[in-house]
Amino acid sequence: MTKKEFLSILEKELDMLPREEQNRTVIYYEELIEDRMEDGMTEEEAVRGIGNPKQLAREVIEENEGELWEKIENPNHSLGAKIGIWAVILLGSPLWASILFALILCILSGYLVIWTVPLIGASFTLAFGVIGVYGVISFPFAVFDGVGIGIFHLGTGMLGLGLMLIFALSTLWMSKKIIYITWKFTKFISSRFRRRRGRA
Amino acid sequence: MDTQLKKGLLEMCVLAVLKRGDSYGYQIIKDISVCITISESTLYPILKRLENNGCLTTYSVEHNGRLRKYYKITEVGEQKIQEFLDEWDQVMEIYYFIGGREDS
Repeated sequence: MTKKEFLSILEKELDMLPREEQNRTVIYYEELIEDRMEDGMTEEEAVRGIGNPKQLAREVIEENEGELWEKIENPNHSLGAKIGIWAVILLGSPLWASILFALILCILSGYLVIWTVPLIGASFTLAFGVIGVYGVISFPFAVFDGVGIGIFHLGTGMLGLGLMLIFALSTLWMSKKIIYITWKFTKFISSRFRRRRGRA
Repeated sequence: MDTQLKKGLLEMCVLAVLKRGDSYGYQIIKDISVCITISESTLYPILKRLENNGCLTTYSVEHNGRLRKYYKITEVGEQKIQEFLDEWDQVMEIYYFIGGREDS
């Protein structure tokens, strides 16, 4: 490959980069080839020893992308730029603030709906608890009306207590799960807002 | 060698070469190559990064009818070299901690 061929392939492969980057890279490699030839190599040797222009172009592009990510995450804004950015955010607030508010309300209402399930469970727990306690306590008194009635009270009471336990445990388990999922979700949302670590 | 480690070390090598005197691409590669292998494509992003960090500046000199780009170390660059050297004891401690042999 001649120097001209090498450089023109390199230039073409770097087409997507800004003009300044493209030129800088081509100049760098042209100078290297020239220096190698001055050192005694033939044009063929000088070009071959540098490498494949397509591969080299790819490496430069990758490196460039890495730099871009660094700039995005660590922008060096001047004070004027910072004020400008905040001004735009403030001016646009009627729009994005109301959308954000609506979104938050949606999430909260969804959350509320989810919590109604444990709420129902808690209500049943309470209801069966009341039945259970009443049945057991009233048992000795109900016996006066008849053994059968007394046993009925006791039986209902025990059934109530049993069901109360079942509902209590289920409600607790469900509440724990919901709290855990909420916590994970909150962490997920906050991690999206934290600065992403770019490629090293 | 680990790529990340090598990149960091090569940056130091480039600065060290420039500390001895301003130099240009091909010469830098030759000077460093006596110590560690470095290719043209590896040097390029290192030079870019050092310039972005303010560790070196560039200027052009005419040579045989073409322009040659020279690199010159800055004070910030010299500082970085010093920091690297000062940290070396710490690096050695970690080396022994990991299990490197001590010369008694």
